[in-house]
Amino acid sequence: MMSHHETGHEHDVDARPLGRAITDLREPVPVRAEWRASLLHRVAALPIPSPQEPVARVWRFRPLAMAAAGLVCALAGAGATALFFTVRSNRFAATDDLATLTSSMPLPGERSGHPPVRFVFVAPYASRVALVGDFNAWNPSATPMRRSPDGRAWLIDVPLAPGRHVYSFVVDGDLAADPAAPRSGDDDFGMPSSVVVVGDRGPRT
Amino acid sequence: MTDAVLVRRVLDGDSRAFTTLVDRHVQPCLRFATRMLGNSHDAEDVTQEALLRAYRALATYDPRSSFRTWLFAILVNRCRTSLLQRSRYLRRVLTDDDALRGAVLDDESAATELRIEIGRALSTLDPDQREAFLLKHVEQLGYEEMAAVTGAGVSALKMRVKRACERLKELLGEVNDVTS
Amino acid sequence: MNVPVTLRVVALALMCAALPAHAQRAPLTAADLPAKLSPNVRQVIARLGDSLRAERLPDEPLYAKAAEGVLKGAAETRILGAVRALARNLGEARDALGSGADAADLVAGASALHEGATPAMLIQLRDAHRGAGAREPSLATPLVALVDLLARHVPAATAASAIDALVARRAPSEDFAALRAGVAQDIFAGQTPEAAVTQRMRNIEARPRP
Repeated sequence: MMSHHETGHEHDVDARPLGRAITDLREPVPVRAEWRASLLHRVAALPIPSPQEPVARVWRFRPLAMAAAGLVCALAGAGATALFFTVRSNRFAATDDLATLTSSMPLPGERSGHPPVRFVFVAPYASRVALVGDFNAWNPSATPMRRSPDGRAWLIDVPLAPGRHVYSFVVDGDLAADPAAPRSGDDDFGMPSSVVVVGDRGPRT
Repeated sequence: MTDAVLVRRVLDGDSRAFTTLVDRHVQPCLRFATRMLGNSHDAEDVTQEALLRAYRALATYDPRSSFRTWLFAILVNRCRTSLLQRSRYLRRVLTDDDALRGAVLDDESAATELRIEIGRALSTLDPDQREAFLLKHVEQLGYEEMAAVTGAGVSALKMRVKRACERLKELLGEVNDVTS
Repeated sequence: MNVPVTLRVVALALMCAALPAHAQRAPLTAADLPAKLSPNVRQVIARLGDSLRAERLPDEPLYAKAAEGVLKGAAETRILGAVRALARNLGEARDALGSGADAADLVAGASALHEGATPAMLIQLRDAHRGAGAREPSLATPLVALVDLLARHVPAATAASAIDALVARRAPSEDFAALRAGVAQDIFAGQTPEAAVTQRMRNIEARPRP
């Protein structure tokens, strides 16, 4: 197999020691013919890699009772929630799928065994605010927040399992991290979220 | 013929298509492994292992993503495992033999010495920094691709590359001026 | 889709009639992957989830990560990359932390690796935890603290040795929370992350062991 030499200098590599080192390191390592032959020989001895059966993923509707309870939650937060049912054009729009809507909502009075964590977001002029995070599949429809009595802030109590949870708020269609909470670090998508840590005895930040 | 098409052919039963895939990607794989592990013997073992795993898992490769990224993720993982299993970080210096094997042929003596010095400097780096440095500056991956290959976040990777460059400059006797 | 009024009324009636007694949030499955993801990508993620489950690793984080990416408007290749990286990190976290690690430990461990910790650091942490004979707090507490410090750009080695030191001292979970809060405060006040941790650890180590 012919080894390919890279000639010339890339614009980002210069004549200083590190640059010369990089140029040198980029030199291809020759591929020994016997090694290559041994690899291909081993490959030939293997069966053809088999494609897996595509798994049928059906969008299931949850049992009607769950759906019902979910809708009740939705109705309870009627003011904010009603708006979720209209079609939105921004990219953080609520999904309009019934299953998604109801799948992650906590049932009223549910005894999950986890103490509820209170989330607060101050936005006196917002029309609707929702909580999204790893605990509700980042679904803006799942956990709409309700206004505080004085109307300045938005609240929701959510039972969370102990551990580290990442979350954000969707405020009138825009994503916003929690200004009062630590940042999550690299979120892979260029939009760091917020972190809440729930200990065995409740949230501790 | 794209990598994705070649993969499709392999899955349909054409083993020669895998040979073509190998020949396309083996150079950078072997180079990365050699620089990462510090010697060609381990690098050959690890690269062969990675390519065999890639072959066995070929059905899980998603043709919408880059084959190089997918393959390098496997290779990087194998390199890490190899280093962990040896349960020591690389301390060996490239031997003259190894240096010669990979050396530029037109200026042997200088290349060998430089290669040894670089090899030594690389070996003192934290493996994660060495890995990030090699991926960025030798294999010339973008940070997004590096994130997909290593599983680390972009900012962590940038930090590692920066630290690696600083350390290497130090070791190679480069004077750090304000603009660098 | 406007939910029909009749359905809401029916639902309300059913709700009053019979509520499941101790219903928990249903765990996420691949079926929860957003409809916006193309079928191909969903399939790849579902298969990844299957293989994680086969190895007794938690698969929920994958679906949450994909959903997060969709919400944040990321390109599908980027989402896939993030999901794959997470899957790998979960496996590496388990390699490092051992089969005794539960899902919360693994998720925290994977986050730590993502933020710059090395597998060797996790092994070290696990050993320190065992060596201290610590059962309370669980391994998740120091892991989460480690992730937090790393996310604040504390150099990985500094963060890891600080957490190891706390574990070796059998510090209670309040101390980990206090370290995190203190470091956050110090950084806010203008200290470098590294200096903040070093200083706080010096103060802690000056105290007698609990």
